Amino acid sequence: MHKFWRRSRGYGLTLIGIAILLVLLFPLVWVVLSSFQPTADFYAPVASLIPQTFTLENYSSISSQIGPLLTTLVIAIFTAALSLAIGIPAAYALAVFRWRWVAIAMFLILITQVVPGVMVATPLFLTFSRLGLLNSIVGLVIANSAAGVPFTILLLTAFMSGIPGSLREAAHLDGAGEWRTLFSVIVPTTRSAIVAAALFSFLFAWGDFLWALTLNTNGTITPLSLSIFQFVGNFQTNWGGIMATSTIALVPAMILLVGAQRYISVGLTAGAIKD
Amino acid sequence: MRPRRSSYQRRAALMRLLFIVPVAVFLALVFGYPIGFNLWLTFQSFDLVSMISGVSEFVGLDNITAVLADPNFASAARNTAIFTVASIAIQFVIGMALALFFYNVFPLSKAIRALLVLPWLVPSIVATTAWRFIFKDPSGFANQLLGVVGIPPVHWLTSSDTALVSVIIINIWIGIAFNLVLLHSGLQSVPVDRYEAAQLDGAGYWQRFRHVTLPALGPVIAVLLVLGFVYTLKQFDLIWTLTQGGPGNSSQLLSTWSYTLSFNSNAFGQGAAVADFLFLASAIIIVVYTLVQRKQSNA
Repeated sequence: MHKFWRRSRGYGLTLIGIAILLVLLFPLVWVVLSSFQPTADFYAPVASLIPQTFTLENYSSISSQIGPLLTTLVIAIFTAALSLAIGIPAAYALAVFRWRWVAIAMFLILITQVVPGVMVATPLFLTFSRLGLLNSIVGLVIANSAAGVPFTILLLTAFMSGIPGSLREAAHLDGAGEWRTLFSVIVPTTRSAIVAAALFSFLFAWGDFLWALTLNTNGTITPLSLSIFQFVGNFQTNWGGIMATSTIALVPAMILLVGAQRYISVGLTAGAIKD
Repeated sequence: MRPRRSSYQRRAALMRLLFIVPVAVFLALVFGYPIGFNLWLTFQSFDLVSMISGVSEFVGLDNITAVLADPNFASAARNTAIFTVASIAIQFVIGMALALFFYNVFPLSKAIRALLVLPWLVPSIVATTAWRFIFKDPSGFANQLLGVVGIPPVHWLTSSDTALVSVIIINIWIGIAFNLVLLHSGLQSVPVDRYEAAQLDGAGYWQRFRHVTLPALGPVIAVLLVLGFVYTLKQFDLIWTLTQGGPGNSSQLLSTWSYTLSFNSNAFGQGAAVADFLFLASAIIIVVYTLVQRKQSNA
């Protein structure tokens, strides 16, 4: 009898949990659901929670979004790659080389997290315009890596400081230099944290709006965020198309949730790592 | 005196520097230089012409005084204060309630908690697109919900009375996940025996929360509030994509105003001055936090 009550209390909590989930995720769930309803239904006097008619026409109406989608994919992949290329050696150095100024360096990296994007926007815009980096993939990758690089370092330094020194010493005794130690011993042991850093860097770039807005002036390059923004701003609004595009824009976050679940809390708290 | 190093050791030390040369160059390019540039801009008469010619003049504190004298400054500062304090306070309370709820282990609790992080991970433009529809006037879901309890439709994003409240609601929605995750992981480290001891002393749920949970969560709460402050102060996407500060500056924050000054009015110096204020506020908070923390860990 006791067990029965305990178990039913558990399921009761599950029901409450699911209710909380539905309320909080409602806006996103609705984006997905409504992407399958005809555009005309968006103009109904009373919007319905669940689509009345199911259609895939919205997804076939967004061929114009394929370009922005691919642009963003390329930018996000290269942002993740650049963040790792710069961040991994830096994290290793800060975690294991006993430099006197490591604490100061970590503090400066932490400070980058508080720099308002709008503060960097003007200088970067003016500088990039001089360097010919406006309206270019390279410029956007650099700007987006400004979020990915510090994040990668904060996350990986924490993980790499946790690796026993004996592992590194053993590699040194085998004659491996620092670079080989890093790539053959340290990287494999922190592989999962590295994957998490890459996924988050990817996601920052994927969701970026500020750089897409600021560093593109002539329409040659339109990342997804900017494309949806312009899509929404147009007078003749194709709501079905907007929701279909938004649904596609949700996919990476969902993949991250499923694929790298246990690193999300690590990732969320990486900004909070102090020493 | 330091011992003399052999040339081999010196070379090894130089080789080690190679690990951080790329990051130093990169951070100098995307943070160091822009921050310096921004500071320089603050004291320059930099406009559209200067953009092409590269020529601008030193104008002393003109940009700063112009910004401070602008009536928009007071309203943007006030809106930023309301936006920041309301967002942090409410998302903290909701995050705490959810963290306590998910402290219970029940079937699917981990999976549900994981999914709750989604609003924080999705592109901001998707979040604002969804909310634009919820706040649609007059037929959106928010107004439908109000209709159920007999309240007439609200103009949400399109009225100067409610635009700020609307973007605060959305910002809270985005920030709950961050609070939930940090507080939940903080709760895991509260020693269970302290709860048991308090229970033996006859402490009720609220008393246990006040006298055991809250003090134990102190450091986590401090981090949360500091980061919450900094992240909320930086918020830009949300307002820009929904209201662009309007209608009539009613939802204008310092961040969006800075951007408007630079990119819509080409008053780059004034935009830079406003951005300086934002950075200064965040930097002060971080430095104070770091000092307090160092003092506590030394004590």
